Amino acid sequence: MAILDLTAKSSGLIRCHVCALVTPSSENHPCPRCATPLHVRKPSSLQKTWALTMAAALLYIPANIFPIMTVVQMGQGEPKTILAGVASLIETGMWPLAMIVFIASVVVPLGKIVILIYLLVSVHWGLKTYIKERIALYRLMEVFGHWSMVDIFLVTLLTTLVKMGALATIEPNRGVSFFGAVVVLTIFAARTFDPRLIWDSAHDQR
Amino acid sequence: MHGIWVQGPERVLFACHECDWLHRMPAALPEGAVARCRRCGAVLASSRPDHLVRTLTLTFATLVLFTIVNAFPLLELKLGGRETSVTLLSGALELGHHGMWDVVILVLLTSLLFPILHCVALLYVLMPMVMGYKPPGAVWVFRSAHLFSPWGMIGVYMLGVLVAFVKLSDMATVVPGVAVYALAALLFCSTAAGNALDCCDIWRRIGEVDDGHP
Ligand SMILES: [Zn+2]
Ligand SMILES: [Zn+2]
Ligand SMILES: [Zn+2]
Repeated sequence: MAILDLTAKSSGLIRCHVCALVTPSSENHPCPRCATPLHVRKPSSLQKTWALTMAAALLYIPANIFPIMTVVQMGQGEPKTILAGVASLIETGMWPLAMIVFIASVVVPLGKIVILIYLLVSVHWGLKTYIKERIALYRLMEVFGHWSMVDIFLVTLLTTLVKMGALATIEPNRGVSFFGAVVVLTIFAARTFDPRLIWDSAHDQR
Repeated sequence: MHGIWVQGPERVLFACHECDWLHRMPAALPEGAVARCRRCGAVLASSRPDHLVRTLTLTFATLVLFTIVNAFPLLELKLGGRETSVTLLSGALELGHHGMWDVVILVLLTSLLFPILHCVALLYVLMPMVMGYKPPGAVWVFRSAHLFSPWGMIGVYMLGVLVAFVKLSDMATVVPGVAVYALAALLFCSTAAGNALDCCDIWRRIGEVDDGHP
């Protein structure tokens, strides 16, 4: 029998991220139960999260500059970006829809990028305060992260349905691809970030 | 220094997935109990009575509902004597006509393939387990299920359908198809299945038969 410290890491134990088994093991050794390679912390978590977050931030620019769809009604209509789409929803009085699309396509992805950068910087600086707040931000990101896919699903549904020839048609535009890439990158970025790093800096203080 | 003794036969060692704090917990929690991390409050485990049968039933229902969702249109649009409709699959494939195959793949994976594979993987592991034996390759299959689960986005898709419905009601007659109701039921069943599933217990069972690991 061994005496254990407060955390798995400081006790020389590793928690398997797939099956949750806690075993005395070392980095990269397979989990005795599910054979997943074990890691004390997610490998190169900060570097990977930085790279993915920066890529997402960069692609968010073309995702907003390029139009995502074109609504043609009675021969009239032009390609619209995400924000122009929200604006036209407001113009037609569809406030609740405008809010949903705005939150899912603008607030969620931008919020995720900002939260990730803040968490990364705070870990780099070894910030020892606001731990509960930072964990709350991390959880918020986990819960709402994938809701930005709404716009992509919406474009596929609308373009499939609205094919009424001269009366009305909706066509997808290139912005969708960029926006899809942003969604995927932010999801991967949130998953490569290891929340235990937030606690580690506080634990070192003891 | 706090000394915690390594697990006895009735207690298991748990490390919080968010903060790495160590806990010694009973392998089986009393009914209705939720174990939270002492340091950060994250949910470590909760009691899930009859989880095998309940998860199996709900997962099976989800898969059946998936076939119904795929067989009928989600929405139908009527405008100036013309009619169009969209199904889960036709919607996903539509952007292929515009050369946006990256989006096609993304939509196919998140709305169709990953959710279905998740159900199939669960059924493969749970069905034999209910009958008292372990299927071959259970470790690999259950690991894959763990990988698929965050990429299934049925709930988000449902919201997309509702937004499309309201948006188009403005310009034409939109009729919700059978698949919308099936999709709502599917969402309910898959969420309930997720809440019923006790991953820890399943890994314990997989481990026991595999190599006698407690
Ligand atoms: Zn996990
Ligand atoms: Zn494992
Ligand atoms: Zn914790």
